[in-house]
Amino acid sequence: METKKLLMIAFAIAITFTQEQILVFLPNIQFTVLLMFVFASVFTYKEMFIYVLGYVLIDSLYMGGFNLFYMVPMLLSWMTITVIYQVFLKQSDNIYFKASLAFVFGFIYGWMFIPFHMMQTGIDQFLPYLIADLPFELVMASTGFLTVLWGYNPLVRVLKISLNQPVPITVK
Amino acid sequence: MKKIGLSIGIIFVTVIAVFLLTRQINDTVGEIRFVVKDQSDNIIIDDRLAFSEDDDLVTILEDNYTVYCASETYQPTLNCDTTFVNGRVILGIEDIVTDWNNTYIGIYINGTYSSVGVDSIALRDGDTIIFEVMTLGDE
Repeated sequence: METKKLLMIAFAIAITFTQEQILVFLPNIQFTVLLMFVFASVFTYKEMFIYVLGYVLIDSLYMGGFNLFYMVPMLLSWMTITVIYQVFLKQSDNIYFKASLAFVFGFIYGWMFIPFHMMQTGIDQFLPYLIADLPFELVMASTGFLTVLWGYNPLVRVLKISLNQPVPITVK
Repeated sequence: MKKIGLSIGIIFVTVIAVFLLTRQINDTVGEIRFVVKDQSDNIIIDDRLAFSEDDDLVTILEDNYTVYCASETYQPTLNCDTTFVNGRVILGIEDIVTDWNNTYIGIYINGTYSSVGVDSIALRDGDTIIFEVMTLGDE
């Protein structure tokens, strides 16, 4: 792996973690989905895995002391975004499609935590948990949609220029 | 322009949806099974009662049934404002009314006899609360 890419992963982890902590007082409002999309546009699977793992480890250490009920679903859901991006979005230039999948991801992220929280708390009723989590999922979905819609293209452009990669043509 | 319109639309829909969902969730935090048995162990009432965050047991019973609380002289009354040292005392529900001197309402929570009164019972989703008419001196 290139040194430049390694440094970029380190910066990506630092930026993602820092912005999340700055916005921690606003439940589920953050730029993490946008940053995941942006970095997934230049990182390979392997690089994304290192980035996501590094971010999840630091976040879990800081927020929950490596609590597995927090760390595992987080790792799974952020890795899902990598797969979603690489499979469905890598070849697409349509920003609305990307923003729509960022919206869907808000719900996927919330659902991923449900079985783990049910195991941790011993609550065996799925439906009340699902309903109770809906407002938070909706906020995350909308935040993901809006941040990707407005921030994805400018950030990818800057990133690709700094990596000397061809800049994508923006579809308005 | 399309982006701005879409963004405003998403924000608007999210705010409305979160407001409505939060209200609905606050209205139904959980549900208890409420059972009333008479002296012969016959089930008189067996209902599921939803409760919200601000509810207590007496409130949800008053919302759903005719509740008789004890007055200062331990007479059954529809007014549940009288509070004793250990909180309010319920003497009756619907047609089942006890007199406190010979009969009273024993409370079982998930099959265990409650050692606290109605005002000290926390509502937990899925709990079964049984009000059973007991005869004083009986086990």
